[in-house]
Amino acid sequence: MRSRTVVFKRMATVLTASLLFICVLGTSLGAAQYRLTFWNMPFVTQEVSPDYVLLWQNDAKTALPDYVIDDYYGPGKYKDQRDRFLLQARTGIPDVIEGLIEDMAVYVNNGIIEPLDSYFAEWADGDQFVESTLEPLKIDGKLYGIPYNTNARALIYRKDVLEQYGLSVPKTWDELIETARAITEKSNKQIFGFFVCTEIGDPRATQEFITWYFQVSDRNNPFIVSTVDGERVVEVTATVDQLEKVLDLYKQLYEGPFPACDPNLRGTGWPTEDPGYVAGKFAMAPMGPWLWGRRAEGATAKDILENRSALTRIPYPKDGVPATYLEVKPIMMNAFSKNKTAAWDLIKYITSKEKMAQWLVDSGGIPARVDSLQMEIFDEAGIRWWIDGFAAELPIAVAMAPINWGPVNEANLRAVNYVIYNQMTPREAAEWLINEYHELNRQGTL
Amino acid sequence: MNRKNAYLLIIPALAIMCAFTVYPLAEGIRLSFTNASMLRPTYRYIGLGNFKQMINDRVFWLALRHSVVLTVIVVLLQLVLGLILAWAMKQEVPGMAAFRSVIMASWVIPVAATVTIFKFMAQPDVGFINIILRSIGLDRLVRYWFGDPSTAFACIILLHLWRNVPFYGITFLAAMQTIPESLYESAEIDGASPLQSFWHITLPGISHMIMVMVTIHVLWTFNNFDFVYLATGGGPVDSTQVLPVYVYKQSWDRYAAGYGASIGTVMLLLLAVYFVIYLLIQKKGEYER
Repeated sequence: MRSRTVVFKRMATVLTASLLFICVLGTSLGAAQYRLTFWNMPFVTQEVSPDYVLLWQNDAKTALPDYVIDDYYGPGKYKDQRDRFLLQARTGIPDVIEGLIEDMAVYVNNGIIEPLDSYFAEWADGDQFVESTLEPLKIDGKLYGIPYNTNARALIYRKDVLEQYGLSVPKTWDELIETARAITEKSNKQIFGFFVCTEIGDPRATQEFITWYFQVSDRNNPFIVSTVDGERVVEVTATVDQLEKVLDLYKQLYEGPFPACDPNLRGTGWPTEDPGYVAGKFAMAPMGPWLWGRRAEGATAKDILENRSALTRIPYPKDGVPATYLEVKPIMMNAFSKNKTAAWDLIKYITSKEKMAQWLVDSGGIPARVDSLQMEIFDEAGIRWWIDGFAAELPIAVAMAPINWGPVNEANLRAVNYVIYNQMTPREAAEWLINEYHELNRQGTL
Repeated sequence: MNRKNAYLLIIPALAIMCAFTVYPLAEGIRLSFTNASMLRPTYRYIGLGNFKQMINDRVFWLALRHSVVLTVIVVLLQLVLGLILAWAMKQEVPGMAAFRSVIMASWVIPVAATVTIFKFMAQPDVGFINIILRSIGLDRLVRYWFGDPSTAFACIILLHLWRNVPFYGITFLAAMQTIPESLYESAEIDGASPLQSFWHITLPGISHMIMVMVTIHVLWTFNNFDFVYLATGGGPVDSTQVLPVYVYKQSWDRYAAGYGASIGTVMLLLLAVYFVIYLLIQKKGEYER
């Protein structure tokens, strides 16, 4: 009995000593190198090629020798990333997050991202950033993100398909529907003329919807945000007529024996749109420059993107104006990061002249820095025509108002689904949608 | 002294239950009376506001109807098909032992994989179902089966059946094997038909197991989230919307945690009522025996 007690005591001593050793070792290692966490969807979804991610990681070791950058880049979907960041930001992880401009207002309202004005003011590279890419990242005059990428949406189309069937590039909504239906018919549904995202919760579906909306609203947002007596006030400015026009477009895209869009792909989003286009399933789609990154998917994708595609302005209604969604991708700092100096160093690295250029050469995109855009690697990679095509649309691009877009986007796409599944007429869906806008505003959700 | 020790011994278990069951449950009920949102750091109590909103929420009623219909249809079909399968597996046919092992594969495969396989099979262009339909000249039926409001709900039912019927079959078979063979022999001597034997011997013999399976599966199916969320997300246009998915969507798409919690509370009450009815029936059964 006594010998057993002695054994237990010895075991407990050894165990305690081991634990202490591990703790001391862990603390000393941790103190030497801070582990930075960076959530960045494009590194997960292969919008950026895996080869580039490896290169980025290796270069980061040299550029930021005092830190270790975790190679987990988040859940890989903007929605999941947003949900998890809202839940866990206060733990300090991730230190830095890439995201959608639409989510920024939500993060600011929750106080989980850091204003970067003081950091940015002291950065010598600050004057290289294009002012129009910084402006949308300001809320109440404070800068909450550093832009690494901007783009406007354009219509990508298969020039070989249009040529084969003797069709012209569409300029108006009517021409778009007519041309797309003709392609569907002439190819006997082997190629559908057009693709538009209609999945509820899909960020691209949201951006496409708002593009059509800006075209019918004279480039005005459906909401205006102002400050009255120190209080933030949101006003709904969208009208039933405007929304009905947009919803009617969706309806027409899925109508007829040879519809412009594949009815079997109703309710799908960008994970169908991007691979579908580079696989030759659709002849036209509203698109941003990231698609360039899909050349790596195979010979067909590379051929379609490099030799068979061209860019043009997204068609707009006869009584509307040319307009498109302006995207600015921010890199943001967690307000609860345990090492904000390290987080800022990482942001500077991500948005440095070379790194921004290399990233966007690999994945497509317009750099937010003048010196990056001027680098020769864009010409060497043969991507200049691609970037210029999207850059040409920047003058007609509109930034979304700084509100909580999540529930609005959900309502927009719900209305789209009511229409494309014939549950409501465009008018009924527009009336339902405007009521939702007002209800969300009344609840203070926006 | 013994009683004191007994109480001391159950304290750890009680503490764990309080931390992981009672507290989340109470917290969920408390939240259902607030306007809590993931988008606001603060919230306030709004009394029955969420429940009043629910009364006018068309999608809530639709989801409730779907949940009830799905539970009734799925549990009934699983019961009937499970009984047929168990009866078939009881027959002494060559290869039956191997069949019994293979059939459980659907239960072993993770739900996410099951849904992925079915979604792939339902694809309009490369999906197995549509290839078969085209090959037999039924092109007009070709569609994305999970993307069509008229077929999506049936596909969800099919997913449940594919996964659970073999489990029912094996469970009922195990119960059937406990019934003494002599009862069947006596019935045969008395001139009972196989159907009569099944009705008067087999069914009463496995009735307890049937009760257990139905009870568990009513709870599982009513609370099932993964099949619907992974397969359709409740769409298209809410044609497969069920309460667990709607709770999630309210909490994470609209970030309306308070409203989501109030729907969860309603689900809890509905299942509590079901459970009370079940206990009363069981008690009555025991009394009659």
